[in-house]
Amino acid sequence: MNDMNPELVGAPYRDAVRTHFDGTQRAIFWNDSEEPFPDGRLIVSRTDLRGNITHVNRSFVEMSGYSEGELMGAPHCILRHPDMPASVFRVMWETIASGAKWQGYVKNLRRDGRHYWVFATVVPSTRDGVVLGYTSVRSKPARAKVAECEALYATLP
Amino acid sequence: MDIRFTVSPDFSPEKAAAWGAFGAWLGGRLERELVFEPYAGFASQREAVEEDRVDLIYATPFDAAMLVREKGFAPIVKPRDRADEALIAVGMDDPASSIFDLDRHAVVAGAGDAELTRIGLLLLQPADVGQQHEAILVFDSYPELAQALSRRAAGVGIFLKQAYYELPEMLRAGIRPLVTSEIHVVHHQLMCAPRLADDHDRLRGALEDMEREADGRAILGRLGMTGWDPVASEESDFTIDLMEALFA
Repeated sequence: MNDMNPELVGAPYRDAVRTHFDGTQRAIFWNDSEEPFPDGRLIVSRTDLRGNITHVNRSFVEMSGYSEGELMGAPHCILRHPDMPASVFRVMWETIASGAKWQGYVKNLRRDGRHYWVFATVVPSTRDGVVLGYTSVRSKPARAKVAECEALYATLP
Repeated sequence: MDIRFTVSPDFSPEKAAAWGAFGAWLGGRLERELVFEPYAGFASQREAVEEDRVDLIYATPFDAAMLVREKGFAPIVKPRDRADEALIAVGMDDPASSIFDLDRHAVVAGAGDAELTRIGLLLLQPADVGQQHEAILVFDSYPELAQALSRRAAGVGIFLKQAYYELPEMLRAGIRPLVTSEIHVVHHQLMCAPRLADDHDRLRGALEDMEREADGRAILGRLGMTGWDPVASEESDFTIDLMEALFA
């Protein structure tokens, strides 16, 4: 996964180098600007078992700011915002790896350093009882829930 | 061997004759008797599928998962440039200009397509409207749902977008849309039962050629379509996964 391009990120911004679960690192840049989630949009995607993106819809492409070509094959954590606690994703992976559905509120990082909140549902995709990957649907979250999560996530590791 | 053909009951009543003509056209191309059997609602159609009384069906993407996984149906083609979306509507005299203006306790209603209703409820979720799912009113058809909205027997209606814009003008004059989903990747599909497994290629070929024949083009026009595109099994699998994610 390539480093983010700071030239695309509006100032003032912060930066960090994130280390992923597989040891790879990525330089990220972000600011405090939020991209509102439009009414009616539903973002859908599917990944393989390692979380690499195999399918996206147009809403995913438009909200993330990446091109479809940049997204296909990239790990889903390309959208990982530094304000998201690692513990939230750990629980998500434990839940879906056990075959169950996970739902939660997620702050995503766009290509331009801005962010957008979603209410996410992630389920294992099975064929004849074998899990082949994961499918996710993201919709517009209630603002009250976003406010709750902002406060809660600031306290989580 | 006759082919029993049906269409998801979300089409406009004015299109019934066009679907009949489609059945006659396709039967002629296949040199088989193709019997068009429309159903009044989703429940009676699903009962017919369950009892193996359907061979060829123009199905909602939401029924596709059941048809593939439980009944062994295979997707053949989908209409070109016609994604299925949910549309939220209210009565014409309702003052709401967005879902956030709606009364949280408004009566939400659908038309028997439970899966489409689920998508509609996702659209309403940010405003916390209709989240008590057991309270959803269910009408047999979209025209009935439109009538209920215009006389305020229901506060919020969940329509298939295509069905909304195919309502008779008189009905549409009493309601108005608030928001439409943007999923882009789910479509109705023409699917066939396992007993037609040997006919897949002929069916797909005939339907892909339909737009190139004058009489075929005329029927497509009456159905509001421009042509058929093949459905890859990978695309069909993604649709099914998506439906399962929505209903998990």
